[in-house]
Amino acid sequence: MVNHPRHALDEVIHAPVRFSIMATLAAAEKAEFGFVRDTVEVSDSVLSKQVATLEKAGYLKVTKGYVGKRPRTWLSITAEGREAFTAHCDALRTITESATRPLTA
Amino acid sequence: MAETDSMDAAEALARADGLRDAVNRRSRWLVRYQLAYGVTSFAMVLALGLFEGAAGVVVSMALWVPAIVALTVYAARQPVAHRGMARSHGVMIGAWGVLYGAALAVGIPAFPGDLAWWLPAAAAVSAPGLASAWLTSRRTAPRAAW
Repeated sequence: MVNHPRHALDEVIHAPVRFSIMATLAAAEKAEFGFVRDTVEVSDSVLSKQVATLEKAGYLKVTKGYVGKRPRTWLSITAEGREAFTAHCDALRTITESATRPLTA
Repeated sequence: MAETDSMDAAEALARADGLRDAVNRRSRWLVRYQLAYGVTSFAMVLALGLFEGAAGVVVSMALWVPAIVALTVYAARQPVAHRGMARSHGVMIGAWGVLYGAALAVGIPAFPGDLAWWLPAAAAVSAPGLASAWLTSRRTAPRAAW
């Protein structure tokens, strides 16, 4: 049985912290590492680890730079990441809709 | 839905909506940026037109250059920009460039010091910034599902 919408869920995105990172970046052109950390409510080390996983999957891009003398790390979602996140949300929506749909005889 | 034990689908979607709203809230700095851009454009073009000759250029640039430097620093220090910001900003700058060029190309040779030209010209040049601020304000307001 491969018809259930859960099969369309993306294993990389499905983990809660990674899902939150992707949801944050999907709404942004780009976001500073510290902003994502505070918004997702995780530590620097947890975010670094999850960002590495998402970057390895090709879902996000890490850019380093400076604002004045302060080093900054920027995160942004890739086209592939956006496509995967949209498909994942579609699958979640299908799951919620199928759960609320009345049973037929 | 055993595989979604750790994060119920509906909760996940609601969380995504909340995170998008957080990004949009923190991206509203762009509304202030665009308002300031529009208002400064108005003052700059009016000064350029109403002070004749070199004085117009001096007063106009004395308003414009510090404002643009301040806005650039302000923008660079922001931690997030909402999705679509680069495109909408590019459209605003492009429209501003066309209107500014037209206002000066016609106004400097034909209407030096003429308020009847420079007042509407300044209003037209300020329009991209002010209209963008309004659109960004709408774009970053909390909204419904993905």
